[in-house]
Amino acid sequence: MKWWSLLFAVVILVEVVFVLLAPLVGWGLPPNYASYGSEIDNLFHLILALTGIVFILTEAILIYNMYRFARSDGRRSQYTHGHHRLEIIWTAVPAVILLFIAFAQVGAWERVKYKSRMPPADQVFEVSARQFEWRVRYPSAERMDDPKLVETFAREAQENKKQVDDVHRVNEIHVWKGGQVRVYLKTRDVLHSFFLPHLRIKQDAVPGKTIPVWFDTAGPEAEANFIYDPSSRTWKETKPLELACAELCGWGHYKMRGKLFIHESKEDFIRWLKHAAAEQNATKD
Amino acid sequence: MAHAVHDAPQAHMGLPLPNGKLAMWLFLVTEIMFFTALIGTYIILRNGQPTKSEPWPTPHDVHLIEWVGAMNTFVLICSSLTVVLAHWAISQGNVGRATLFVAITFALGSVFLIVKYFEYKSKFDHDILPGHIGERLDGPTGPQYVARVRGQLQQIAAGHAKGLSPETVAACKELLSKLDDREVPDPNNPANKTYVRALRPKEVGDRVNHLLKEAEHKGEPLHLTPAIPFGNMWASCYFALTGFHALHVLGGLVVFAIILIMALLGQLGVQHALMLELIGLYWHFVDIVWIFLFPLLYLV
Amino acid sequence: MSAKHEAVTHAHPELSFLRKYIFSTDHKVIGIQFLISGLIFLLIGGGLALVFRIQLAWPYSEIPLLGRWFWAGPAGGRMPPETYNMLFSMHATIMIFFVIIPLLTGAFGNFTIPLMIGAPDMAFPRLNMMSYWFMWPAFAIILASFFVEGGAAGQGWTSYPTLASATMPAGEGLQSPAAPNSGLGQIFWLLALIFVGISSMAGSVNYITTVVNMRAPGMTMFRMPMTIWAMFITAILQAMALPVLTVALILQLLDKTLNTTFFLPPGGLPFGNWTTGPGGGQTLLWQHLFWFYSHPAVYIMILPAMGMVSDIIATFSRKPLFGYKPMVYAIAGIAGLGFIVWGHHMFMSGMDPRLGTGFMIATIMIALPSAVKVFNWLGTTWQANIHFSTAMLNALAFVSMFIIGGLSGIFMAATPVDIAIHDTYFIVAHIHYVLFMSSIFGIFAAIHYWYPKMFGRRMNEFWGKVHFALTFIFANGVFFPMHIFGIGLAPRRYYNHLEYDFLTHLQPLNVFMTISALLLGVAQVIFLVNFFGSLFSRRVEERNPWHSNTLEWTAPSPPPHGNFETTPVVYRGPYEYASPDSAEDYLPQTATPNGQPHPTGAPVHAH
Ligand code: HEA
Ligand code: HEA
Ligand code: CUA
Ligand SMILES: [Cu+2]
Repeated sequence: MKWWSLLFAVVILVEVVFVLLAPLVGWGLPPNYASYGSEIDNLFHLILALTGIVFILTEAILIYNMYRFARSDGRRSQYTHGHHRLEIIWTAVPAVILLFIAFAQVGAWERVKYKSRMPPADQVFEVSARQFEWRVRYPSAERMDDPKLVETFAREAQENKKQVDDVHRVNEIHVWKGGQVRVYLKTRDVLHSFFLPHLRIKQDAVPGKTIPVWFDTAGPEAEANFIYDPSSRTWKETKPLELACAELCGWGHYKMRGKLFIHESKEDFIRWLKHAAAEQNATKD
Repeated sequence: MAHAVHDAPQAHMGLPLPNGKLAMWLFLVTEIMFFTALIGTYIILRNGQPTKSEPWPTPHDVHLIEWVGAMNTFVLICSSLTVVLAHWAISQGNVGRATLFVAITFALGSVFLIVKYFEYKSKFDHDILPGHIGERLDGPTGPQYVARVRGQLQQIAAGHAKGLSPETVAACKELLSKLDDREVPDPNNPANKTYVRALRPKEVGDRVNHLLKEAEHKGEPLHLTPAIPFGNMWASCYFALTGFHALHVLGGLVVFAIILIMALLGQLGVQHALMLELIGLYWHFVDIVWIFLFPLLYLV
Repeated sequence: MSAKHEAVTHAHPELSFLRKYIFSTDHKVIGIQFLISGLIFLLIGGGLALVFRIQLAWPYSEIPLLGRWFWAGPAGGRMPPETYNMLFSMHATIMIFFVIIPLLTGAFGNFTIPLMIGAPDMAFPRLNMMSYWFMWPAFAIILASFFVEGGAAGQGWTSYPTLASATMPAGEGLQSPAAPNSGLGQIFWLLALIFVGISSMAGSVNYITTVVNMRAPGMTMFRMPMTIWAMFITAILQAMALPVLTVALILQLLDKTLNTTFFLPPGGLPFGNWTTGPGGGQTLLWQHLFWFYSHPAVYIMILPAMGMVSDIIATFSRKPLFGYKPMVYAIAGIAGLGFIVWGHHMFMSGMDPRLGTGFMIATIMIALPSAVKVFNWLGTTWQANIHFSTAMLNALAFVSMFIIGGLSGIFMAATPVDIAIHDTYFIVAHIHYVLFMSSIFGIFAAIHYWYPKMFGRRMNEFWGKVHFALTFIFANGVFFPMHIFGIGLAPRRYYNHLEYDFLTHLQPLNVFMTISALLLGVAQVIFLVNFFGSLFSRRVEERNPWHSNTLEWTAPSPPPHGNFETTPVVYRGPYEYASPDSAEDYLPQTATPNGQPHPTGAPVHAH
């Protein structure tokens, strides 16, 4: 009967191997483009390592016990009700590990989410979600030079005001490589969640609230995916990057997909912005 | 200790409380959590969003009369006292007196509910009801409000409202006429008409509020749905809190009624002391909830 | 004499069939009623999962068999996306509120509490019966909701406003402008859950009173088996947390039917051509109220299983439970901490991130009492003499799978990591490791363990083991790859992941999981046949088939109404296995101290 331990051992072993091998076939975290993203990924791997050790240790003991102490007639179990010192050890040691894990998180969390810690922004825009699309409002190229832009824009977003020269796009997020971005996130109807997997950012949009979100594309591995070709005066998408909705919002939740375009530089972005403004004016008439 | 047969059965293992009493306390714990959640909800909603420009409604805005609430508080406190007296009487073996006190408690509870009825009725008369009141009228819900007011004005214009002076009715008719786009003849040259836009919902709200104020001044029973910032939220909280409290009062009254019927049939006896104690506990709880609700809803 | 003694001493008159099996006040019958209805709903809930898993593996394909009935015509036998939402929402609702909670607290709470503390019945048998019959309106409403206009609720088991709460302006009907199945379907959902809540609340008041006041002579608190401790603390959790959910449900119901504005933000909301009425409330308030209940609720869904598993492991290890008191304190610790961690479901919700920091630290520390439990289980199997019965195998699987489910909780509790994995399949993996792989394995263990006591018959051990092995393998096959899928950041509640370029390469995982799920479903047939088939097997009169110490095994199998022939007297704790005081390797709680089993038990009270 001790062979029951084998069933457990095989299943656990397969799982461990699976976790170790999955990244090799590309089944891991998607590439990260944000400056804080590697912090998040490192914390993930830290927890994976620590819990992995605890996991292997505890499962190994369980499986060993199942093997070693399987019923044999004539043997009697040890008659013990516990062990005071052991209890203290296996409370204290995990306590230390857990406190370490907890406090290791605080810095990154503050850096990404605390409003007071958000760095000054190079770029600001408003994202207004609705069933089932993302409406993005960019300030015009002229306003981009205004040093007070972020404050005035924040107020506009809060008060639901728009400017005539704003550039509106649907389901398209345009940023440039290395830029610090501030988004004012709103929703018109139900909860949605603004999720950029490659930028490791996620924030619910809440009816009745305007929520500031910070992210950047300043990670070491960041690369532009929206390249301007001066000869043909067109843009080419070199690699699809996506915006997903991560909060259930109705039947179209799964296809509330936006695209993320990373321009090579601010100049490229401004060029595109002007182009978009011109396109918008053309359709207006 | 060879044979446990000789052991006296060991002491009762639990608390020195009858099961019924323990269960009643536990039931009250769930009730406390229930009302804590309700009252907490109210406090959060009330303090969360209202601003200087859109404040939380005052009792006057929503036709809430403080002294009526205070009186009801007094009534309930008295009933708490009488229920204690009823329990005291029955544990003294005086069933007749206990019945009398239960009857008084029943009467006081009924007074509370009757007063509540009139309070609710005034809310219905003034249309202070969730989802009805005008709010943020320049937003997407403005047209709903105008449609509602239009219906009420049409009733008044058709002469269905009583006790209104001709001026008020005229003012209502005038407002009604302005709810639609229209062409107004120039007084000097009737052939010459100017095109006038309907009032915007926001303006309708302002005018209705103005009319209501005038009418109140003159003491006329004009019933139009007002526009009050956070009026719907106020009404939602008011009805949910006082409604669930009133249901609890009603539940207590049913038990008191059963006790009275038992007394009438001559079946109430000293053996029911525990029952009276338990309903008394419950009744105190209902009373305490009101003591929280009254200042929170009427005074703060 | 008080009523409880009467119950023991009076011979029980023969009851009519109706009183004996349908409107019974006997805690054992009520427990079995909960058990059977819970198992039926497990089938329904699992069946729903199997249907929507097909869509996940082969998006837009025709659903075999069902497609032709339900989505004929223009849909071409394919499942529409709103149906997908409905299926997983009802899957989770049924699993949580109609399977796990009723099975753990309703079925096993009822069955074990009086028997294991030596009481003739619950403190309030009539209330107990009522708490089961309050489930029936809930059953009827939740099943009826599949047939109302727009279909059953599809807003997730969390039913977040405003998707769930939005309604037409006053006087314009009960449809929802937000989603077709958020109208009547959602209203039915709310009503059903209110009934479940009333049932559980009545149950928990009853359980607490019974445990506190009805213990047999000698059964001090610290002689109670872990099962009873767990049921007791769970009942306290329920009594404190459920009223808050009830309030939340009622408020959403008022929002939907009477146009109150608790969860509707100021100004109301436009939806295409429709708008809601005016608002004034706060959307996030629901999440606070909901999780204030539902986080403690996840412990309601694990603590009883932990308790039962502790007893089963000790019994089949033939060894005292390691660290009894630390185990009790750990349960209390989990329950206590459970009340201050609800915010970990709301890290990304727009709640102030500073609160998130506090919730994170509290959440991670909850692993501590859980660690104590795990280590003590390991300690119990150390130097033991393990008997691999089906019950024991399921219990060991509980331990080994709870470690996985618990550890994945740490990832999500870590706020920065949760930014990435919140609302991805990593959470779905966590859910199923703690709920399916832990709680359900605990339930399987408990069913195999107490079946002889419930029915006076045995379940087939061979088929029990086959079922266990297949379930263990296939369930890992379904739910382990979900971690990997989640680390690829695949969002949950998605009808079709192929819409996204960054997810297409993960699709083989989806196919693998679905195939495993289908096999897992087939494996459950073995269990069903074994469970229901064994009802017709040979009677075994044996009282104590597992040579266990606790009181229920001193009663006849199945125990009659009133349970014990004589009130048992307790002399020791429940875990005296391998005690040197006894020649056997067990020493029942009722055995008199000189080692002789008590001949007659405690004296019967004279009238
Ligand atoms: C039975 C049910 C159950 C249980 C027991 C748990 C237990 C835990 N859960 Fe889980 N949880 C759910 C059911 C459950 N959960 C459900 C249903 C959801 C999803 C809801 C939804 O959105 O639909 C959820 C979601 C959920 C979230 C939200 C994720 C998100 O939406 O982003 C979080 C975040 O913190 C979390 C954390 C935890 C933690 C830390 C524990 C801890 O209690 C676990 C503690 C146990 C261990 C850690 C393992 C044993 C310990 C050791 C072996 C020792 C040592 C360990 C170390 C030193 C690391 N859970
Ligand atoms: C106790 C709880 C419990 C249990 C047991 C299960 C069991 C299963 N769950 Fe469930 N699940 C949840 C609780 C549970 N789940 C919760 C809380 C959610 C979150 C929902 C939300 O987001 O709101 C969820 C979500 C969820 C998802 C994510 C959906 C999404 O986000 O889009 C998936 C996807 O694979 C899934 C799959 C399964 C499968 C394959 C099983 C299998 O184990 C089922 C195995 C089958 C059986 C046990 C029954 C046997 C069936 C038959 C014999 C067939 C014949 C019968 C009939 C046809 C009636 N579940
Ligand atoms: Cu928008 Cu999900
Ligand atoms: Cu939780």
